[in-house]
Amino acid sequence: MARALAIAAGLCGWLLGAAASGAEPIAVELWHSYRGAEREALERTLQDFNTTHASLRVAATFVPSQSYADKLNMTVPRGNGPDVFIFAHDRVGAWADSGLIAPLDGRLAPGLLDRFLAKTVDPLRYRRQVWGLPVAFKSAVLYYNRALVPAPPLDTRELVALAEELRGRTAADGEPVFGLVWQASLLYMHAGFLYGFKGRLFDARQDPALDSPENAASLEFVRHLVRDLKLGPEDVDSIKVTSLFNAGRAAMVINGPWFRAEIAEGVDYGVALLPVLEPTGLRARPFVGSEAFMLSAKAKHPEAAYQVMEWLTRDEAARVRMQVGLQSVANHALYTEGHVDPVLAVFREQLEFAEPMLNTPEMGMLWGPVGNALTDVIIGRATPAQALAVAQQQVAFQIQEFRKGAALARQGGGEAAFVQAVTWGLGGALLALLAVAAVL
Amino acid sequence: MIGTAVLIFIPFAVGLGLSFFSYYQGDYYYVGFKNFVDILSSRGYGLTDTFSFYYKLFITVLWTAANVLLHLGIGLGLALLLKDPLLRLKGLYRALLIIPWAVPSYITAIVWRGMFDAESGVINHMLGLEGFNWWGSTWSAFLANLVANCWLGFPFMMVVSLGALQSIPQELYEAADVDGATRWQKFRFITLPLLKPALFPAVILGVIWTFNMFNVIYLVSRGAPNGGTDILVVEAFRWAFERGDRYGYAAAYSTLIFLILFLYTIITNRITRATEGAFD
Repeated sequence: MARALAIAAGLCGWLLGAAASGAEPIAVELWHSYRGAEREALERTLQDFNTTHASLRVAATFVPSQSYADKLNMTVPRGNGPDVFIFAHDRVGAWADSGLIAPLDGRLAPGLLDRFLAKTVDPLRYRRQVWGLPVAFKSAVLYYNRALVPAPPLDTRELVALAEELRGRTAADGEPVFGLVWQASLLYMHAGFLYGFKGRLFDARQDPALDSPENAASLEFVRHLVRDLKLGPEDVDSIKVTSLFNAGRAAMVINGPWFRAEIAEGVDYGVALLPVLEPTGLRARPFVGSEAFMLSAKAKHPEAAYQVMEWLTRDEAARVRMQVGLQSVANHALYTEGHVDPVLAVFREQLEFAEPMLNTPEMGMLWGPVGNALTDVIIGRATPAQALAVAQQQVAFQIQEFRKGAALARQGGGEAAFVQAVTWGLGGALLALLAVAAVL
Repeated sequence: MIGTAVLIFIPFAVGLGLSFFSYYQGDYYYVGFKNFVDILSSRGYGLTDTFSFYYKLFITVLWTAANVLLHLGIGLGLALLLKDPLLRLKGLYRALLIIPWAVPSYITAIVWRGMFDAESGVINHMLGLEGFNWWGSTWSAFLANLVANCWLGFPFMMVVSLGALQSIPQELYEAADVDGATRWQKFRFITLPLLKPALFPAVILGVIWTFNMFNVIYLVSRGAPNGGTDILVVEAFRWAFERGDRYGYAAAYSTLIFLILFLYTIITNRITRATEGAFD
């Protein structure tokens, strides 16, 4: 079936190519921030696309993830950005509102979305439209060092008992071993606990709802793990997680799929679902992010660009990304056929216990204040209720400011006024300098 | 002249212009003095909240004063030691003491961050404080920043003092010896007054550099806990790039920093006449 499809696609490509014989192939520019195996797999599928589509030519550009979003914000509105790019879904709302990406609804063939896991498509919906085709999904899971943890804990009671057993043990370098290491002061890593305590971030009216008792209970639980039981260090960044795990000083780690590539050769590790939280009896429910192909609103040939996206998310292309790139791809068919990599099987299972990150611009304003609240609780500067009350106030204020920006945008203004003000600024600065020179 | 215009005046004017605007999803909207009013009235935050302009100003002034005093003290002390004509291996010591200055400051900052680490940092190992989280309170984080920045800052003061010390004529000390002056008297009435013309500009520069010392704060304490140790210039950066692209607000912050330093320079210039010659 797959082969037949590939041949059919090849034939279509050949026919299209014949129709446009002599004409230059249409160039489609694709941006991504994949490294290593993921990049290799993506590039292989692009090669396949180019060999089967004579009339189209996809060129991929790698953009480092730190500057990726800024580059898109800068180039796309001026028309020099990519036609298609791969990005996580959390900016869909902001980009849809600012007209950076185009909705796909008019282009989607009926039933096309059925090839994807529903949980990877839903996060791409915004204002009743679909804004991308999912590539892969990413959520946190539990990594464990088999030398220290014979079998992964099913719930937090077992996890704590395991950590207590390991207390006092030292690693090869003579330093103490920690039971569980994770970036407890990041909302992204805390989400599993928050949703496992039935907490929530926004209410039904999309206003922030941080200061709820459920949220406070989840913070209190983490505070207990870090401060009372001392399962892991207080101050943790991503580098520390990796270095402690690789040195055999972290028995268990909560981290996302990217962590797999950071584990040193020779560390025998396993991956398991996040544990059930003992106080509520519910499994920890981490955030899930959906990485997707998005169509630039300024694409030169949107038809061709969409054709590329559609082809690259077919099962055949996704299989290459899954097998070569070890990517937790969004196509559900691939998890039921043949041999599935055991780690990817765990990610697939964790997806059933995961909450999609919101894709609204308001969500972007939560990370900082909630992270601060977590820090305050973990270092013992505030109680969960106090810290969340502060975060709630800060987020509410920021969202209010943001909505004012939206109101300004409706009034108009924009670039011409900006240039005018810069000119005034220049004049004013020169005058000020002259005045200062005169005074001195 | 064109170089100055392109590199200094145009970015400066753009920054100044930007401070009257609000950025929203790819476009700028004119808001007049709103950004300045918001910052100076600390709208949305209490006056002593870590996000308030006045809290940041307090931390910045404290940071600058503590640093410059320590830089000057350590630098001058070492310069006096190195000046001793009987000291051996003087060249080696000088070279070693200038090393902190020669290493790029962000690398030094990252190394200090690692040394202050709670679990694997060498400082906790030496002090027997394993597990102590330096970033857990404002004062311990401030102290860690201060130590890192003193390491970076004293060589400059030392080099300036050393140069100035060597220009003091030896006869003055001999004359003082004849008069029976003590070491302290010689330092107080000969060395210090003659160092002044060299030290004043160095201190003014030191204050401006420390006031805007982005690298150390951003990389050593990272503002921990929750912005408690952030100084004004780091705060401006965070508003622009870490808290929802508020470029206009950040530009207004930068303009205020500029005004503060500008006033400071004018005032100190008036008082000390630092930019004038030593003997006129």
